[in-house]
Amino acid sequence: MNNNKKTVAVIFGGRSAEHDISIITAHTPIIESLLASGNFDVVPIYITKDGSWYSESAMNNIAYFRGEYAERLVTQKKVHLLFDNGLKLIWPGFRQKIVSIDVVFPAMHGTYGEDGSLMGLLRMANVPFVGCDIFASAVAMDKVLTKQVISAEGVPVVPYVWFTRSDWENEQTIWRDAISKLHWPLFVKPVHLGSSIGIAKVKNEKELEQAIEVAFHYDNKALVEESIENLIEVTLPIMGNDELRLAEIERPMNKSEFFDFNDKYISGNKKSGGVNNQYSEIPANINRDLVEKVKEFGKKTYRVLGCEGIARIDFLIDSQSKNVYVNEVNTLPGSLYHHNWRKAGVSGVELVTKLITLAFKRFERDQNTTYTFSSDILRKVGGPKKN
Amino acid sequence: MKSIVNNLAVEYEDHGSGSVMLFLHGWKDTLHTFDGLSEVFSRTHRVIALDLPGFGKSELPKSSWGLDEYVEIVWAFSEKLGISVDVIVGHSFGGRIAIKGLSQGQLRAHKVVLIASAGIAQTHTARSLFFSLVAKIGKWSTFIPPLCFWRKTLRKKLYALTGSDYMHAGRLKETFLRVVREDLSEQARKISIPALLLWGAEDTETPVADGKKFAELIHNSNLKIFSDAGHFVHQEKTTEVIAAIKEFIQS
Repeated sequence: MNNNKKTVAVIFGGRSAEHDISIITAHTPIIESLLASGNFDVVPIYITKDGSWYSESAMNNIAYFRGEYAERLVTQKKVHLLFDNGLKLIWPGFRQKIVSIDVVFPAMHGTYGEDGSLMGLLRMANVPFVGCDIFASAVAMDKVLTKQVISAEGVPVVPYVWFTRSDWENEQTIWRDAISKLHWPLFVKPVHLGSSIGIAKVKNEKELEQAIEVAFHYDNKALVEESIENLIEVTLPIMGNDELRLAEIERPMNKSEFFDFNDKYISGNKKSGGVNNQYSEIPANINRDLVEKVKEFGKKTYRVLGCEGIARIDFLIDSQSKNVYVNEVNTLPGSLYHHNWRKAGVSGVELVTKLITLAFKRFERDQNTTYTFSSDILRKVGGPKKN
Repeated sequence: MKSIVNNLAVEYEDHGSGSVMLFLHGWKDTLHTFDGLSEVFSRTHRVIALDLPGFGKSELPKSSWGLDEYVEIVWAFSEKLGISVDVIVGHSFGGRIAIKGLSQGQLRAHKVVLIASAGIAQTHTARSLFFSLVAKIGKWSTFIPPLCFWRKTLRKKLYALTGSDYMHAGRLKETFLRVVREDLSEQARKISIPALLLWGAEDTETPVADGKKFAELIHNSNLKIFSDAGHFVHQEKTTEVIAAIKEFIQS
């Protein structure tokens, strides 16, 4: 590999309902933009749905994942990780190969990746990585925690009730009573899943019961929240560590009752790179007051949660009352929302290059933070008893 | 919307009111294959269509399934919804489920509509014997160089020639093999409720000969063949198919 280039490991796939979407994000725009820049050697790392790690250069081409790739992987050796004041990859065998990774670009959605798990691993490895750190990632993955944290800092959220599976099984009357006080129709959601998986809009008790059963099929914690009348949904991608740069406010013009997995990822055209922009309005045609509120709450939410690198904030707007609510935060927007960034004047190459620069800056800052200190406490432990 | 049935998330649509029509789609298809039909029948009936596990928005079975597991999930789904089915409409693989379920009394209905139903095993035709022989020779000969380099391509070509869904079955390959192995001639013979059999004359997946065989096997049946239509006759001749089903239901 060329020594002048930084070696970037792009990690994707994983034990998540959004496994396949992660493969798309990794390739479009991340890997293709990193390669197009000519400044990086890209090492693709693919994690299977059962958690095995593989890496081979052919994985840099998304075509690898279109066929029966599971059959090909059976013949491959799993890649090993070494934490040696940085991250090294080892391909074991007679002709063992070791590659040092300069920076990691996580491209994982959902559980065991975007939820902070991968970030924890990378912190332990002491390697720079792109995007939000463990804390923001873990909070943002929990829709209830997100609401609790940002509303405590004055960011408006829609009224909601949350409970665990055992809460529901053991104290159903209490929770039904709490839910009945919300303004119907309601949304029922598993708390941790992304891409609208397992979400249902319910109009009556029977639908509520069924939707809660579905939510608990996917999660141990469920959220029931009010739906917004005269709804306008918008989303705002944001980039930065301390200085924030906003992309355009985007309005998904969804055909279904809410912006579901299908609208986001499946119904889009090929050029959209996996994320549907066919039904998006960029920038959203909303009045100036609403634009200002969205930007203000977006930046505040980003800071309160401690987001860094990139994130996308989703909003619900009541077009009559002009109330703006933050709905949820996505710490790895599907395909980085590069279609939106492009409209905001940031090309795919600029986007990934900037995110890698931000990763190095945060790493440098953290290296200068003192995490250990000298003490003589161990010398005092287990000494002779003093009368 | 979704319902949890036997610990699997099953997507379904439930429109209209009145006596229940349950729609079962074909292999690698979804409940939306019946959109043209359900739009019309939901004006007079309660129309329920589900994505069978592994297809559409329903979850993939956690292990390889056979036909019995699909019958079981359709039964469990009906129980969960608390419905008493008046008419079952099954297309292709959905027809298999209907035949097996009705014959063993696990699924109940007053009438059944089988559209290009699968279920007649092709094991004894000269064509399938020929392809079976080619497959066996091919399997062993392609271990030898240089044929081994083209093994995958040759395999794909063979399956394409046979018109098999096997290569496209993905994670359901094992399930596909288990399902297609089962010949339902004996089960079809046990069906005693009125049956309407609808076939496209140009069907190459489940040829008209299968429809004629089912018509012989199912005592109380009526076969209608639509010219210039193939395996998806309900989509190709929607108006005519609706008219035929209406007449059948009202008779």
